[in-house]
Amino acid sequence: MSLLRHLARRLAWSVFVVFVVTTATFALNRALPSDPARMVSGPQARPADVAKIRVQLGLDRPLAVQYAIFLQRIVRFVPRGVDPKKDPEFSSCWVKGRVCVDLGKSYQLRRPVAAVIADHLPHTVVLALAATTLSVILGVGAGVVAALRRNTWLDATAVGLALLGISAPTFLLGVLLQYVLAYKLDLLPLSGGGDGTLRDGALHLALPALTLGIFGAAYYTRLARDEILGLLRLDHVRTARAKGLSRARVVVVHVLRNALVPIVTVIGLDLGALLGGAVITEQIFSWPGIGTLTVRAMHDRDGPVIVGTVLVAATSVVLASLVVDVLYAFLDPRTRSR
Amino acid sequence: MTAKSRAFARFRRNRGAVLGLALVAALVLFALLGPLFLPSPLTPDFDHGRGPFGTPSSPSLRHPFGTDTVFRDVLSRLAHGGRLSLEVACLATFVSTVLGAAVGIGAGYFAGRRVRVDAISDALALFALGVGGLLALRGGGVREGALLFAYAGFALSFGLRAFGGLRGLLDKRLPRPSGLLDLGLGVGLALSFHHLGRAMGLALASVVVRAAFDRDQREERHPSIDVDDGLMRLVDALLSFPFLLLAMAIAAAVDRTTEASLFLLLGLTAWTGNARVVRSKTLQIRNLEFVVAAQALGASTPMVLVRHVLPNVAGVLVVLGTSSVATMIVAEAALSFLGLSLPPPAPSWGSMLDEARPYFALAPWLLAAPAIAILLTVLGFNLLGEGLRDAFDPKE
Repeated sequence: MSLLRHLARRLAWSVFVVFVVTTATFALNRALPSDPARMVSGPQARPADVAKIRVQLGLDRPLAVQYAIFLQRIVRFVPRGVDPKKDPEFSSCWVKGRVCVDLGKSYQLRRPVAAVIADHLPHTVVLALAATTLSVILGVGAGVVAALRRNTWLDATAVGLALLGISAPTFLLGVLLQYVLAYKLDLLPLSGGGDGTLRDGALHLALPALTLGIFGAAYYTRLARDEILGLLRLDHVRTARAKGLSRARVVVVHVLRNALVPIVTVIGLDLGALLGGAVITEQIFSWPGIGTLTVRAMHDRDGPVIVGTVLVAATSVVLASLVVDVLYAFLDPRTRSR
Repeated sequence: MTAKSRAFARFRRNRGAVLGLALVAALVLFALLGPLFLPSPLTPDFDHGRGPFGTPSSPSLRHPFGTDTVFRDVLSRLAHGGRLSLEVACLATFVSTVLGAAVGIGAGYFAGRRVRVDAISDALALFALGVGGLLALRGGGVREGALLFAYAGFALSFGLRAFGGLRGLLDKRLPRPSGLLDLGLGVGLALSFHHLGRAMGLALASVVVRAAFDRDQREERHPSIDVDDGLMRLVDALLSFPFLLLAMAIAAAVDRTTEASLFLLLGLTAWTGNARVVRSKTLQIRNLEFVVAAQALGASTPMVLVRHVLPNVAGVLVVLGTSSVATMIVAEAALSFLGLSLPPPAPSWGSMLDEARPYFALAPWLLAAPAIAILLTVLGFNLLGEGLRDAFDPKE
């Protein structure tokens, strides 16, 4: 019961946070100095036409009313007998079955924001999963080895590389990998999302995934090493060794299992952040994900797209922390009582 | 040996920390003194900086790091960019550390104390009224940023008012009419404000209405929140928003980025993590004997905070600040890499890296120079930060 209560509270809080973030972004966008009506109508349009478009877009209304309309229209149902492709009422919709998701229309692309996001999101999901897998395998592996072989050359190498890794921001690492692997050695494609085939997509995925993967691995190495070193000093580990358990068993059962909780937490939160779009890495490799979309929208001051991408980012971050919380309750029963 | 000299000895024995200090010192010298001796970072050198086919010239004696695509000296741009990065990063770190320390110490020291929701709402409304009033007087110039503050103040104030009203209605011990009044005021105000003038009028009205109709001033008759709980909820909410994305959104919203708006933007978005760390440290400190003793002897709260709490959080602040400079340098470079930092031709490491990308086949030194500079700087600050942490707070 208390677990359910805890979850219900967390869920309500998450919804509230997403709402606040969306509201703030919406307000921020309307405070932009550029005039969306002018952007849509083009620099040559007559003032009368600009004014007409302003009314069409609903920009002449009070901000609070605009926001209320935006919220009202986010999810709608298409009535039977209506073709959403032809009805202007649903022109800014991304339709799936009879459900319409409406985040407005992009000023620049003249397409429904939800549809644009739906195009970009799969790329970001694939990249986030690939990068996380890579960094967990590399990072946690290196961290465990470094901790168990403390003060050997293995440990020193892992710690040194990890320090170098966290000091090389993704934009630096990405550009260097691009220069070496794609340009000098010509092993992988320079940038882009591939031509749609699985093989080509995977080849294009390699560099961005490697960039994010190495960067994350550096963090996880340090995290896993610190965690395990801390645990190895604890009394129950010494007792387990003293009562004659094998070293392997002690490490797996008494150390790794306990180290899992904080590591899973960090991995979950990182994954949430990545699902919101790895802005810089995607930008370097022109990977057609949410991050690239966000940067483009910000350069173009494309308000509806900015609100949409921020909504996606906030939702994925908040959702990830919710999932981590649930996992926590399972992995560590002590947290349930709180 | 005093604690200080022991920490110093530990720091000196740590080879990584000393290396970090050396890297940071070298960078500071380069950024401060370099611009005095080097050619201007903005003037092209057509005579000696141009390669055979009008390409940038590769590293030579005259231009040790070569020239860029418009034949400007890369070393000089690196020094000027370093000065900019360092300045922005240090100021941003100052802002985020001070803010984080204030919120963290406040939350930690006053944990358990309750504050009336309507009092906070009134304070926010008055703050926003002040900013709005200044705007009305000054106009022009500082508008956008200040307008944002005023709006945020009003929105928060009205939101809190509605929240307090709801809490008041749900809690049977609190008077119903007052809860209804708050809820009505909050929701009504939030829905009807979209202009600064009207919002100011409404805020003033709500403060006056409260003062006139809500005469029951007893603490237990009003909804309240725990200081620590409230502040940490705020921090959690801000933390759930990716730092870079937030900075980007604001950078895109600000019309023309200046150095001041840049460090404020970075500082004001990055303080949350610091607040958390400082809070947990303060929670530990406030229960220690010497703090309890000082309180028992009748020392005033500011006295306890300044003489006993602050000196004990200072170590944590120094460590946080040092690694924060590294984070800020990266964040500034990332923003300029995305074209959201200072407009050209001001040199910045991030924008140099971005400009070099299309030419990396032709002029790899354009890529290498800012890349190595960023790497060494961040490495230096990270090493220094870790060295300081180990010196102040030895685990073994």
